[in-house]
Amino acid sequence: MEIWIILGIVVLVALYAIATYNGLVGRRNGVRNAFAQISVQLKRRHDLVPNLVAAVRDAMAFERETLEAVVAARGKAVAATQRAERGGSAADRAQALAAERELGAGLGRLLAVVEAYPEIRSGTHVSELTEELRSTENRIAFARQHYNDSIQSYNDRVQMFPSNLIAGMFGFRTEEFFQVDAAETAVPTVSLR
Amino acid sequence: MARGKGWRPWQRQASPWARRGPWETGQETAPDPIREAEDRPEPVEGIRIDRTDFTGAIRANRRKSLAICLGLTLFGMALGYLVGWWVAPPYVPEGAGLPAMLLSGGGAVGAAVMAVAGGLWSTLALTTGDRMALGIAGAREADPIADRRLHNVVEEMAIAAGLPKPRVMVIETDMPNAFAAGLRPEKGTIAVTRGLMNRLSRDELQAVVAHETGHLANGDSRYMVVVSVMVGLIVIVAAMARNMAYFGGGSRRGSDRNGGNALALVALLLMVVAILAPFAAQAMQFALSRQREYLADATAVKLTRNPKAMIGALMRLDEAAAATGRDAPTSARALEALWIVNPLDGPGESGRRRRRAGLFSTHPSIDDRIARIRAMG
Repeated sequence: MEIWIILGIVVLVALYAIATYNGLVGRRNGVRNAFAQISVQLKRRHDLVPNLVAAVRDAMAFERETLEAVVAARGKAVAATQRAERGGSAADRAQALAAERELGAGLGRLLAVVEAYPEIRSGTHVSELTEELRSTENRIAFARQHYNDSIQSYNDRVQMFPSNLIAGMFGFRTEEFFQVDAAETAVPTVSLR
Repeated sequence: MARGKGWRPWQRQASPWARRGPWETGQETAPDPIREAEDRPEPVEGIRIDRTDFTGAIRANRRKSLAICLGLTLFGMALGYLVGWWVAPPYVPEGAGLPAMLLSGGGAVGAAVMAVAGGLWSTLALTTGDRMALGIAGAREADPIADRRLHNVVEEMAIAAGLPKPRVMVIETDMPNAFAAGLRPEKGTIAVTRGLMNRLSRDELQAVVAHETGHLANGDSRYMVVVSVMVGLIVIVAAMARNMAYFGGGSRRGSDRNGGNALALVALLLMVVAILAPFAAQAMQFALSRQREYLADATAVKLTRNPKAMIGALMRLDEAAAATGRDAPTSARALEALWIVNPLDGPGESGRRRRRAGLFSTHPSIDDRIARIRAMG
């Protein structure tokens, strides 16, 4: 009789351990997938920039430097991303991130400029592109947000009792949140000359 | 499950999810003289939510929803048990106590029948329900070019929720509203009306779509289908039971020698339950429906990190619903519980709006929803 009870308890514990382990693996993969999703959206942004620049180039002779900054930032970002993907070191990855930040800031300024000049904004092609661009910026932001959300739910599992016992046994480590520095969240200024 | 003390992800440095950039300056909600009197906080430029308690709101809501679902199922099974007892009363020997009278094979069969029938019917409704709802509402596939913004917004929210992009549909009516259908989070549909797209700013549209994405991500339509099926069963069985009690159904085995009292007791109990059950079950269903609305609002805030837009969208929808109110089309009436705001919530006979949600409302009042969203931020 007792043997059956003990056996039952052992089976239950084993089942719990399996379910928890699988849950942890699933969440960790979720985190990785969320990270990959960010780079997908960044690529989308790279592809969009040339079209946008071509569309507003003529109308924006007076905002040359804004436009040139965007083009230069895109070039840098594409190069840095490729370096990082070809087996980049941590430094390469940091550089790619910095380049993306610069591109994001440049695009933010460009958008603000386009919004500020009705004669540019009114072109259908331009308005379509700005919608696409705004959507892309949002996608990048939401992809990062989802990355952080999945990290949070994974970290909860790793740190909370009792799943933390299983996590400790199989070497699941907490992940660091994605941080954005102040430069990227600053609102761009538009000069209306 | 309490979170470990001192674990505050939002206090790690500035904010892990700061994300309101320059491209998201949606125009502010137009000021409304009627609402100016109410305490609307001044819109802050570039508001940033660093501490949101949507996770707590979501957890509490899950618990409540589950409790209501369980309660309803048990309630249905209890009704089945009573009916089973009535159809096949147990043989009770002389001098037996109350427990012996209450144990009944027929009752057990009745309860099991309720549970199984509920399960089967739910399965049927789940496989056809969302297509039917979309058909009734007259939703059509949204055009990827013409409705580019809608497609973009839906995809953005899908990214935020980590779901594949749901199908995007448009309902050609001027009444601003939206709903979501879908059995599994991965295979959902989001439908919005033309009026909604015309009247809301991009950020507000995003908040509404986030609310619907929340319904999808939380598996609400599954919940609601199972519950409404159970309610339907209870209503039908209760009607049967009323007829049975009225026409004296059930075999009266040995009612003169034993169990006569028990039989009378159960008959009385059955009458009372049969009369009250439909109301109680429906009240539970609507309570659940209201809970899910609160949950979807909380999820929308979690996805957009922009409670202001959600509040603005709700206010505009509220005004529009007040305008159309009782002349809402039949299709809207049939799907009352699905919409983001209740399309029938117009001024009643007295001409005054309902400011409070009652026991039989599918949606919480807009004021309550806004108050809760404010409490989250």
